[in-house]
Amino acid sequence: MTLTPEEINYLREGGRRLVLVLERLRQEIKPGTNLRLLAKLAETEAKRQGGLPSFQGFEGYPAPVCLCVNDQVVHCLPRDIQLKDGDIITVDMGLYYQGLHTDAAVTWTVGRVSPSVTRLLDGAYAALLAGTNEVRAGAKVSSISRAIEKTLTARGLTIFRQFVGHGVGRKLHESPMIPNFVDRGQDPTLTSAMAIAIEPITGLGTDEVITEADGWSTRTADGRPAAEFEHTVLVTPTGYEVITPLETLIGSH
Amino acid sequence: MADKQVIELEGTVVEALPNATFKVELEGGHTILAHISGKMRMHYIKILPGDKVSVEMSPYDIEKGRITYRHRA
Repeated sequence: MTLTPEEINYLREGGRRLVLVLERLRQEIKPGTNLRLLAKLAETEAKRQGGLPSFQGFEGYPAPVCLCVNDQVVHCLPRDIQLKDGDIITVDMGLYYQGLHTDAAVTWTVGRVSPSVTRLLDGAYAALLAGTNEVRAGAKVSSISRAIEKTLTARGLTIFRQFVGHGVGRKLHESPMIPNFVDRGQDPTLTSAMAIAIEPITGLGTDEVITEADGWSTRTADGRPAAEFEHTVLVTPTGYEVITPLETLIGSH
Repeated sequence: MADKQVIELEGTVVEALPNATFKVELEGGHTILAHISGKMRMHYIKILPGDKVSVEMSPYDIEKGRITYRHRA
């Protein structure tokens, strides 16, 4: 979907505000924080920014944010549990602002984590950057996919193939799909003024994923941890513009 | 939030197995193992052999699926 110049301005402003929401949530990423309260805070902050949480009500998803802990993968409903030292938590959130959606996710560490988990997070973030580096008008989606796949497999990390990045903007999920691996099927071309959400989702163990009893949350079949970094980028004639920059949200690891 | 790459198919339940798993014959004759979606489990939707169901499958595992809907007889 090609966005108008006016829409692009709202997209930029929405992205900036989504990052502010995530910065606020980051302050609560510490042992003892209850995930239900964190989700409530996400909703409050989204509204304070003049927007609404994109996920709430999306295809029936009942929460304002996805909060995946340790071996949980994506689409995790906030549970009535507390964060504890050594956990990792993926906060995945979208903001609907002035008619446009932006989408971003970060995996944060709680206290001290093992070296293998650090390797997982570094790999996921490196894959996000490698994939993004391929973005420009005229490029194929497969060039993004290939860069992500190469980065992850070179580090021995798993790709959950059923979860893919996507176009974003007027709707939360639009075409094209942005797989984290080279798909043998169709291979769309990126066009200028199109917004996409790139989201490498990766793990340390099996790629087999189980859907939990709530019908949404997913976790790895072997209980090994999973991580995700996601940002919204705008395709430009010569490259890209990051709409939800994650730089201020990471950096401790 | 990740998009899901899924295929929606229709089939008929052939056999009920333990742990809310079912053998489902898809239109076209291919037989898969399918578990029932969490939402159906929460609402206690009973599935019996002979029921027509909708199945969600990943394009990367053609042996397994997830029953998302039981059609009324």
